[in-house]
Amino acid sequence: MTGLELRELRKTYRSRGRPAVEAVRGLDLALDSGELLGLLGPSGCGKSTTLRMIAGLEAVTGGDILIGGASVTGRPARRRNIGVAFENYALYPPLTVAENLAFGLKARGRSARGEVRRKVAGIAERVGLTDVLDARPAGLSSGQKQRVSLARALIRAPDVLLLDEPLSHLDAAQRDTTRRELKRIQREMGHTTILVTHDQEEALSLADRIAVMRDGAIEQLGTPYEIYDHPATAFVADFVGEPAINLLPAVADADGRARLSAGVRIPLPVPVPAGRPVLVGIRPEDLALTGADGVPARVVAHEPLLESGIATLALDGVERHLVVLTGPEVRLAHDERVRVAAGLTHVFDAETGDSLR
Amino acid sequence: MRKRLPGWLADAALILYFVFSLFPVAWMAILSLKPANQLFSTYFSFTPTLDAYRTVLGGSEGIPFVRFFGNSLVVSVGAVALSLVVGLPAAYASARWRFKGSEHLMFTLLSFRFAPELTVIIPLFVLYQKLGLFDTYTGMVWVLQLVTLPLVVWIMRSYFADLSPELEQAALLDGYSRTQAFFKVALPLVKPGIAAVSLLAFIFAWNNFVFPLILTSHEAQTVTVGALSFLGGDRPKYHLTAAAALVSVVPPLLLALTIQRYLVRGLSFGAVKS
Ligand SMILES: Nc1ncnc2c1ncn2[C@@H]1O[C@H](COP(=O)(O)OP(=O)(O)O)[C@@H](O)[C@H]1O
Ligand SMILES: [Mg+2]
Repeated sequence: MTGLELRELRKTYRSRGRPAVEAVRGLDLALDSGELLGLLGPSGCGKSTTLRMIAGLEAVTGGDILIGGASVTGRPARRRNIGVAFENYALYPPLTVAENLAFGLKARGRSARGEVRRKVAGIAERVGLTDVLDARPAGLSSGQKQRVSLARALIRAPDVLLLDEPLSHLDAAQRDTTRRELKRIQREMGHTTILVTHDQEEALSLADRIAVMRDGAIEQLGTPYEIYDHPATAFVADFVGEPAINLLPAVADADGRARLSAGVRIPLPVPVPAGRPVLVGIRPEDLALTGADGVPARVVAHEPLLESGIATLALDGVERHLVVLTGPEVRLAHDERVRVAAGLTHVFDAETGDSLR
Repeated sequence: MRKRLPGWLADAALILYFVFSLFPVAWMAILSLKPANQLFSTYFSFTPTLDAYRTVLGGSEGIPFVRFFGNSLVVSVGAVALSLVVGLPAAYASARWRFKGSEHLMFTLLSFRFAPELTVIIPLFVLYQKLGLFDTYTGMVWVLQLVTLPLVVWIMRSYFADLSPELEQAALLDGYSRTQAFFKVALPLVKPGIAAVSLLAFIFAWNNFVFPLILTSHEAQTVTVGALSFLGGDRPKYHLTAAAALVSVVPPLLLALTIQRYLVRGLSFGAVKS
């Protein structure tokens, strides 16, 4: 297996009569051999464009792509040995699953018939498609289609595997099982993999490292823990985590606390110069309702889940509501106090959104 | 709310329309079955005879109708085949890539369909005389490209545009070349479109009148013009023209019936996406 490296990768779409779109602006990224990197970001931030450039389906505007240390930027797609599982599966409707899988092997007529059959059977076994080898794509569930698409990408033993939103068209139940399958298969086969997704949960559960993308650039690169526990910007903090982090505008006080309103102050994790406008970030799971100490709050809504609940609190004089992860039962409109777990708050510059921690 | 017509009323309206649109055909059929001496009687009692068909197909009037028929077949099939060979790659390219001047090119091609043929027929006539293409198969197949090529390119373009490019891209990643991706992936998926557009182009080519009228005389003349030869001479022989016309609708009709299944799917292109 081989590593993948992107250097200063750029893509600008220019079409006559329309302003140029800078879809990717200077991406630097290095994947170790066998690593699964999650490329996470909102729709339109340039994830697919990045993937298509790596695959060779889109010409780069600038920068370099290296596989196993050698530049492949000038090579056509068919000579990069990259496997792609497309978002819409890209299965060939008239062919059966087995024929779809074999199609990729026959490109240069390099495999003998017996070998093709053996490889198809092997990959089908691995991905769990043995029962549907004779079915046509139209008769498959979306989870099965996704696995065919994956098998089709894997059967040629590519150096690098690219997955574009592999789970986005699956229903909730299939998504969970397919996600686990995906992880198992990638671990077993050990491909260097980029997984593109806009679903933070998917990235957190699958990836070794996550690159959070925004407007064509990487906002933060790190392990899921780093991304979640130490978001580099307010954008990353907001994008990762469900329910989303509370981001409250405040002003730093001289005593090391953030003033949210005249009566509401929250201790800051790091010293911030007094008078500086900041965004205080607190994850709903780092807050707790207590009868005793903490900030006085009023419960305005509560959404019970099975073993927990999500409460919305109003703080005195604070415009934005606070979302808190609670137990399944909370009394509405009851005067409560909310306690912030010590040291778990985040603080960002109000202007730039950069973490001050 | 729109009220629907009651069933029987709708049926009646359809039958009425059916009779209305089939009337000219029926009239011709009657005409073609009449003996020459009862041609101009307006009542419907006559002794039906197949004499007209015998005369037309036997060529006994000195008019080689069977050859005209064969010419039509050769020229129409040739025109459609050439249009497919040239038009399918063109349609594919224009659906997949925007290149310099591509939209102008496409529009120019389309303009052949709505520019009246008569506007170019005189210069074409002169050119054909000089190039030795007058009254030849090559000349007819070539000039019919004005009719068939825009159809093929425009209709097939929308078929290719409806195909997800990811199918071909997957093939490219597998190691297929662009050309292979076109032939092995894209082309087989637009077969219904090819069937529909071939039929349509064939009918348009078959029905064309102006080009063979001006650009052929005897060797390469087609049925549309040939059928009218029976009207010349001392007395117009309407029953022979009617018989000739009826015989000449047979190929398009047979073709339409055989590929009807494709046709319904094929001609609703763009309108309904699966
Ligand atoms: N072929 C194209 N021509 C012009 N703009 C494009 C093209 N493809 C993508 N874009 C633009 O580039 C940006 C990034 O797109 P994309 O990479 O598909 O985002 P993502 O996959 O993250 O949703 C978007 O603003 C999109 O509109
Ligand atoms: Mg995308």
